[in-house]
Formats: sequence, structure tokens, C-alpha cells
Amino acid sequence: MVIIKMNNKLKRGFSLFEAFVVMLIVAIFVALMANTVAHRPKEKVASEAHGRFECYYDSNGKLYQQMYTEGSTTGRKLATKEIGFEKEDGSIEMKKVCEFVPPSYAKYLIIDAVGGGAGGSPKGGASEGQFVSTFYASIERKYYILPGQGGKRETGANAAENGETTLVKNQDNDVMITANGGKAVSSLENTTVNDILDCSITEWCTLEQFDCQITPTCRVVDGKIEVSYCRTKGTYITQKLTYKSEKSDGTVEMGNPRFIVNNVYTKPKNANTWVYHDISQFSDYDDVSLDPTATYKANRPDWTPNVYDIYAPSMYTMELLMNTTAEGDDPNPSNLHRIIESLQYTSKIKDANVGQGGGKNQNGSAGGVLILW
Amino acid sequence: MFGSFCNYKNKKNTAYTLAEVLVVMSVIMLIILALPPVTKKVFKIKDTRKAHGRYECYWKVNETTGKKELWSYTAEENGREIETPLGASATYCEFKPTSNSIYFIMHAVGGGGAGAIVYTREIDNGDGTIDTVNVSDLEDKQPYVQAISYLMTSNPMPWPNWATWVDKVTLPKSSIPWDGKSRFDVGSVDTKQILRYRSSGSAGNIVSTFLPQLPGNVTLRLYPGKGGEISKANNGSGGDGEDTKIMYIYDGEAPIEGLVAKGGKGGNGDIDSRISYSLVGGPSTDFEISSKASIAGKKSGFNDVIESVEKYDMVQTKVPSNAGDSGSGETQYAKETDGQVYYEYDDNNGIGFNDRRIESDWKNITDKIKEAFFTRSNFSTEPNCELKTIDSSTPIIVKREGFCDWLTSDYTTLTYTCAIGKVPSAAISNINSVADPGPEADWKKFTVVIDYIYNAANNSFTYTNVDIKNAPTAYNPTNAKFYNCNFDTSLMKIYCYTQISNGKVYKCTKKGSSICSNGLEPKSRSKESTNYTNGTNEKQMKCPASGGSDGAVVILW
Repeated sequence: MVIIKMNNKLKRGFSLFEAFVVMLIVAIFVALMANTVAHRPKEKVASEAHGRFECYYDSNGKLYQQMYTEGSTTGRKLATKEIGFEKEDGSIEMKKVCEFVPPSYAKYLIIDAVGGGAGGSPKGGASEGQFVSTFYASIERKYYILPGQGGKRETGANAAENGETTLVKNQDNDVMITANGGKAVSSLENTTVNDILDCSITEWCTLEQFDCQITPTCRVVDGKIEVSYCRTKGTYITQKLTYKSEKSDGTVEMGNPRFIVNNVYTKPKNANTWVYHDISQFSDYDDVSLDPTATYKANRPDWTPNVYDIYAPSMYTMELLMNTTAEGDDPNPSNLHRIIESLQYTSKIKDANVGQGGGKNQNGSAGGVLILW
Repeated sequence: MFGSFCNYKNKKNTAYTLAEVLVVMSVIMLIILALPPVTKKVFKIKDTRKAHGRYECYWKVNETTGKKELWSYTAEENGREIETPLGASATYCEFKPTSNSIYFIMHAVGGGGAGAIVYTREIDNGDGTIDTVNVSDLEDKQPYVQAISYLMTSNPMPWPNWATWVDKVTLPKSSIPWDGKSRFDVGSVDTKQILRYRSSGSAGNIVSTFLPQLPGNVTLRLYPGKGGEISKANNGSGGDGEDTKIMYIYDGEAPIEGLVAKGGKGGNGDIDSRISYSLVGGPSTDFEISSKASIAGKKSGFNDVIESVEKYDMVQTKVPSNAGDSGSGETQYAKETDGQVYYEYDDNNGIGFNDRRIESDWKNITDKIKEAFFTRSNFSTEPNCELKTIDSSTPIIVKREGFCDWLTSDYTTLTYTCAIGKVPSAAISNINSVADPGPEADWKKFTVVIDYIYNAANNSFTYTNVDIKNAPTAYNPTNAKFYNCNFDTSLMKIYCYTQISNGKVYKCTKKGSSICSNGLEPKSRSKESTNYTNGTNEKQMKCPASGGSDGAVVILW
């Protein structure tokens, strides 16, 4: 403490050094207090709000996208971005896609996608596109969305079309989501492998030289009909048969060694069932000694495989139950459209009826994608 | 403050010294430093997140009433757990979304389709016409397998080795339980029963969706679809499962369809499927037809989707494990099917299309041999085998036909060379140029001298005597397999007999049994069947089809 003479009076006070010491202690004290006294919780910033992104075709076939956050929207915009998609022949086709950049604050994404609805026919309505709902905790930088086109209705000789697949890709062109298109109602002749509801081996050869004591089976796997049966007494084999493949011009591909659908190997049992007789030994076996039909053929030089010949040797008989049933006359809404309606969205995606299967004699609607966060 | 605490009189009106201030400040600092646990609690951000939970809506039998009812089940992280029957007339559950939940996940499965039954069948005649028949009868019961065996290694050979097996390219009724032609494996004696079955239904579809939030003024109405029912309509096709629906109801507004999980399709009754059912006696591992055919119902997999057990054991799903599964198709039931070994022999003229047969290079086998069983001599110890012996007193005799070529002739006699057995092709083309291979061979050559009288008036021949040179009169397994030969002068053919006379024969039977592949109890057909006989007609026993399982809804938050 120092003594200062002020106005001829002696006054006592802290020295500058003492003041510094006090300030230093106070400073240390405050520094320690910093971790003790809680901060006031921050207000949630508006940017963490929920939101959604919509991608769809309007009734004129134009691709639109629109993003909503709570209380605001980017407005409806025509999609302008184009990216390449590989066609069946390997070439690349540029297509317009929706481009979605997720908000940086989004903690997760829910991507709901639906494929294009199939076109209806005079027989009735077609099925809606497949609905896929996926939760993503990891978010990509960018998403490109190509909703599948809706199938056209049956007109004249043109069969009703299936809906196209909806694809969602990331910035690296990796497919994130695939939502298949709906299936059009088919006549038995126009069915595809996807229309097989059930297959059944109804009879088979159990000759000693062809009986390995295992029951033949069939199922549909990866777009093929997989049949397992005794090829010889000691061999149980699995073969994949092509149901029917069509060339790009719509004609049937005849390169399959065993045709499931044509006038020789397969015949209709009724409006929704094929009966197929496997007579593969004619084409598969070069060794006559293993061909049990050698005598049969030798005695009938003019004979050709024909299912109407009940004596035709057959390794097995398979029946394929095909889906040829219409799904009523009314349009079939998709689950994505139902979600949009039930959440009472008022945006234009509601009017697009995304993924809806066409009713009787109606076109199907294009697919769409709804992203939520 | 300086001065003694006892010196109250010596009071000085002075300020605190620096040391005093420092002491006070140090004390205060220590107090404040000790406060953090208190202050942190005070300022902790309140967690307003709603606890996790689940809501389920499903069909279940009420054990009190014995009737199927709609039930709801609520379980929350805070321990609240309620399972409630909604009454016999309820068709939906109502769920009020909780506030402050950070997400909702909805899972729904439609009702499964029912399996098909054998009811009517369409027969495609192959000429464009189709007959519809009432298929009351199932596939004929085949109580045995036509397993065939004979001992080729016996010494002497009990069976002439001109016998060769011929398999027709058709559908024989069995396999041959032997390895090549040298070993007969009684263990392979089995029974194959062709069973008729119908297809199962398809499972209900599963639909899942995620939502960040649900409007506060909405109530969800959940309609789990019922499973399809067994039906005689449409050729016995199973009924389709109902769709499961989630409806949104806003205050005072009409319900809006929010999500639909379609029901499965019923099994199609039009496909008349058959499957081979192997029955090896005793506990069989061959009852796997359900995995080899479309008989057993399909699993929906719904329970794998709905996170049946969460953080707490209490939050275990109440949804039946078979929700959305489809029903099994109807299957013929084979009971106590026996496996037997027997040998069937038929003539060329009577062979059925599907029959296995034995034939030789000779033509026109006319004798029939049945129930002849040849096996290894040491099979007498095998269980379920009945010994039979074919000896010289009970031979199996076969009449065989040969052929003859003219050799020489004069005015009173004709001489033929005849052959019988497995005649070499060279001998067939010119029998006189091939030497007689001897009695041990597979074939025999005879010289036949025929005396005759020629009547010139009507240009006719009268045969007065036929002499088959060196023809044996009795069967000898090592020396004369063809005996008692006769010559038919009208056909100029020779006929001889051969026989099996020294084989040890076992008729082996193995009991088989069968169960329903779909796990259901077999039952008799309804009385609509004309062959129904008090439920004892095994041919009419069937494993019944089953209906589809009901759908369900699970909501998680």
C-alpha cells in the first residue's frame, strides 16, 4: 500500500502492482469460470427444418423438380440437366434428369420412388409401378433422378406397354434406387418371364438310365426358368431356359436351343398356362447310344418334335402359370401417390398421379420420386 | 485486518489488506469451482424427444371367445405396454401419431393367398378340345415299386442270357435297384408313389415407408387384410388374400388411402401337378416334396422386417409369425405304402405303353412269368424278405420260337436247318453256313428231317413224320437249355422250351409310410367322392390345403 499526499492530506491506496495482482487473479478466476457457467442454448436455426424434393413428369411429359423447406420453396423448375444412360446395345443415350443437391444440414434422407405405371388394355387395368422407400443416413453430394415413363395403352395391334423403371443415381453415376415399372395385362402369347406366377414339373422320365432318384424341380431365377432334373442315372443337372426373348424389333429370338414358347415345344393349356415338353435330348445328345429315342426316330424318319404326339419322348413336362389377369377396370394408384395425397401435399406432383397403372384402355402414368428429410 | 482478535478496544477504521482480500477471493473461487455439477444440471438442455415405441395391428384368436379378432398392441420405451382385443366386429385399429417423434416407420403386409385344392380338372385332348372332369379320384395308389432284379451271377446262370432288358422311352414305374447287372441292392428297394398336388398361394406383399413426421391432426386407421380362404370355386383355386390398408383421417375429413400392401394370390387349381414321392421303409428322409414343389405355403418374411425385438425385451412383437404367409396346396396322401420287389413278364402283344418289359432277340414270347424273384443267395438274412425257391420241381417254363431255312429235299423228305436262341446275325442271313455253337451256347441249331407224301392229283403234301435230330427232351442248365422242341409244318418254324429251375428267390417288402408335407393331418375326402368308403380308402386320403394367413401393420417411431 502506498501513501499519497493529495490536497495536503495523506491518502492511503493500492499500488499499481497490487492492482495488477488483483486483476491477474480475477482474470484467472474468470477463465476458470468460463467452463463452469453454462452458455445459453442456441436457438435452432431455420436451416435444420424438414423439407422435401419432388421429381415428376407433368401431363405434357415435361420433367419438373421442386424443393420445399419449411416455409419456403425453390419454385417449380423444368429439369435441364442431362446425363447418359446405357442402352441395351451398349450405346449411350442422354436423358433429362432431376438434379437434387441435399441441404447441408440434412441429417438423413428418405427417398421414395415409384416406377412408371403400365398401360391398360380392353381387358382391363394394369398394375402400378413398384414403390420403394429407402432411408439413408449417409448422404451423397448430389442425386440424379430419372422417373420411368408410363406404359401406353393397347391400341390396335400394339400391345399395352409395361411401365419403365425409375432410377436414382448419385454423383458417381452409381444406381442408388431402382423402382420397376408396372406390368401390363398380357395375352398368353405376349407374356414375358416376369409374368410367370408358378412353374411345376408335372411328369418326368424315370427310365433307369435317366433316373438319378432326385425329383425334378423348377423355379424362376434371374429372368430364366431354372430346371433341375436327372439327365442320366448319375447326373442331376440344373439348366436355365429362356422363356422367350424378343429382339429389338419385337420379333421372337429363336436362338434358344429349347423354346419355351413356340408352336413346337410348348402349347397353351388354357388362357394362362403353357405346357412345355422338354425334348432336349434331340439337340443335346450326340452320342446315339445315350439317346433313348434313337429307335423311335429311326422308325419314323419324318418325325419331328411335336407336343401333340403323345409318344414324343420327353425328359419332363413343365407347366407355367402365367399372369394374364387384369386388375379391374379402374386405374391403380401407386403407394407414392397415396402418400402424397394422405400427407395433403398441394404441389403439382399430386396431379401427376405418379406411377399409376392405367385403367381399362388408359395409359399408365410416369413414375416419380419424393425425397424427404 | 491487523491486530489481535482479543483486542476489541484497539479498533482501527482501516481498509482490508491485500492479503485479506486475496484470502476472501480464494475462498469464493473454491466455492464457485465446486459448483459445476450444480450449474450443469441447471443448464442442461431438456430432451423433449418422444420415447421410441411401436404400435401393431393384427388378427389373432381371442382365447376367451375362441374367435378371431383384431388386436392392437402398443409398447413404448417408458415401459408402457398394452395389448387389447378390439372386439369381434372391429375391422380396423386407430393410431394417433405421437408428437415430437423424430420419425415414423410403417410396415404393412397383405393377407396371404390360400392354397388350391383338387376339385375339377381340365383334360386337354390335344386336338383343341378340352374335357372337364370331376377329379374326385386322386392318383391311383401304387402300393409297390416295380423294382426288378434277377441274379446274373448265379452259377449256373438261372436265366438264359438271351434275355435283355429293354426300356421303353416312356414313364416306367420304377427304377431298378441294382448296380449294373451284377449286384442287387435290397437296400435300394423303395416305393415311388406319384402324388397329385395343387399349388400353394402367394404371400402377401410387404410395403414399408419412412416419414420424418406426421401431421398433428391426423389419425391413422389400419385395416389388416385377411388371408384367403380355401374354395371350390374356379377349379379349386385358393382365395386371394385381402389388401392391407392404412387410411389417414384428418379432423372432420374423409379418409384418405395412405398405403396399400396387396394381398397374395390364391394357388391356381388348374395345374394338375404330380410329384414323385419316394418312400423307403421306416422313418424316411424323403418327405421333402414340399421343398421340391409348389405345395407348401410361401413365407412373407414380415417378421424379418419389423424388428421384432428392440432395445427392451418387452417390446417384442405380438404380430403372429406367419403374418401374410400363403396357404399350402392340397396334396395326396399315401399311407403305409409298401415297397416290393417283383418281376413282371409279359408278351410282346400285351405290353402296355408304360410297362417295363423283358425281351429277347427271339420273337413272339408267349409264356408269362410272374412273381419270380432272383437275388443273391446271402440275402436270406435281409429283413422283410420272403424266400422263394425255383427248383426243378417248380420251374418257370418259357416257350420260344425259332426259325428254319430249307437245306435239301428229295422225293420223300425235306431237310431244314433250324435255329433258336440268340442267333448271330450271320446265322440269320445264312444259317447253314454257321456251325452249331454247341449246347453251352446261347443258341442252338437243329437239323429237322421231314417225311412227306406228294399227292399229284391235287398238288398237296402230307407230312408223315418230323424228326428233330439231337433234340434234348429235358432241361439241363449246363447242357441243354432248349428242349421239347416241336416243328410246325404249317409255318415251317421250330418251337422249343427253356426254363428257370434253380434260382433262389426272395420277395422283399419294405414298409413305407408317409406324412403330409405341409405339416397338416391327413384326412379323408369328402363324401362327394364316389369311392369314399368310411375314410378307409387310402387312395382318397389327402393332406388338406390351408388358407392364407392374415395381414398386419406395424408402426415404429
